[in-house]
Amino acid sequence: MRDSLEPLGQHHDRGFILPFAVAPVAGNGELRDLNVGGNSGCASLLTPDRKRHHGGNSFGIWCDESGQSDKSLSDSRSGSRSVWTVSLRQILEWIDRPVEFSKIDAQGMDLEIVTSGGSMLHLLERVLLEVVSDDCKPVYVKQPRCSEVVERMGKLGFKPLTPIPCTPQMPRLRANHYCELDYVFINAAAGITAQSTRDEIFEYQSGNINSCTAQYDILKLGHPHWAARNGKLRELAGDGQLVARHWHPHKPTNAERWYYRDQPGMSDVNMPGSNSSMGRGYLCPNTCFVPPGRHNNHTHILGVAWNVVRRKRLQCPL
Amino acid sequence: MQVGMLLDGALPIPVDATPILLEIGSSDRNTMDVEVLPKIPNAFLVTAEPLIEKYSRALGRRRESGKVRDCQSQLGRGQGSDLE
Repeated sequence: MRDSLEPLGQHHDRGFILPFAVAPVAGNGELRDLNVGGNSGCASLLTPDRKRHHGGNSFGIWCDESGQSDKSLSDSRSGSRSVWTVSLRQILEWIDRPVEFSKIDAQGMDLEIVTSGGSMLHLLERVLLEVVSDDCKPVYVKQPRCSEVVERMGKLGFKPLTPIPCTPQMPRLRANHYCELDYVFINAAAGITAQSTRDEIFEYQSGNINSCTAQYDILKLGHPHWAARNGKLRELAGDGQLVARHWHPHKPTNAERWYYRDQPGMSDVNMPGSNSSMGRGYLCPNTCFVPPGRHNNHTHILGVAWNVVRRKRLQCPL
Repeated sequence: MQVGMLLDGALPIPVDATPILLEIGSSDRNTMDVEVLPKIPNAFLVTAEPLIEKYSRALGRRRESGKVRDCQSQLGRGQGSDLE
């Protein structure tokens, strides 16, 4: 081991990292309280809306402990932390040239972060925001849902990279983590177009359940992974149709990968490391949706208890 | 505490770097330094991450290419011979 200095603030030979939160703030920055909990993916300047749960809807329940300190546990993971917070305008001034793509994942603050770009927003060409589907309850107090995000981004000069459904085309069975959508917006006011957008950015566009255009019967086909392996999914798709499936649920590193098929006779299109819909619609398992004529969440279409279905990993395995 | 350098009010990003990428909120998974920079050879990334342990972990991911060792680490030990 050599006792040498590392470059200041570089997490990569081609990257700087700053220990700052980003939000609308006045001046050069200020200290703000960041709510944290055991799940670091829930850390947010906003407070979880713990009153939103109802019935079997569990979306965001894993974030409820953020901001709640439990001193009896001597646990420094929950509560709030003071973090230095700057505006996006400040960050863009430090970069001082066009940003081709920005990925924002700030737990309910995404839209507010964009608005904090102010007079420097012309440098932001494309931006990925995590938004909540219109048919799900937001995780955080004052968190906007998809339609409001689209409307307010439009007023800032941004439009969706591809048409984005803010509600599923078929009723969602359960409000779970698929309520979160990853949508890319392009700065139309700055002349940015979808045609000029590289594939690596398209791959971030993910509609989850909202991009399902039709259902297939998972009980007849079996798990989409195995159905794909034995060619059943291939038989499902018509010309140009895509079929979504979940790749190998037993390997966490692959758990979010999606695979599609373009044309009959072609092999599956593999998008490693991506859970993207590429802005396209696709066929989905019927276990993701409320069965026709049913309004409760407790019994499956064939009378199979949902806990049994879950155990078999058949419940909406996208 | 100084956490970076500014030259004439701007980060010292190489003039020939393109595209410029910005990541706001970077936890342990799906970070752009791991997932995107390898795909775009001349890209430059600026990341903002307020959680100090995630920030420090990201700094720890940096390795100069000539210093990368393709081998396993010893169980319960840091790099080198120091027992942690």
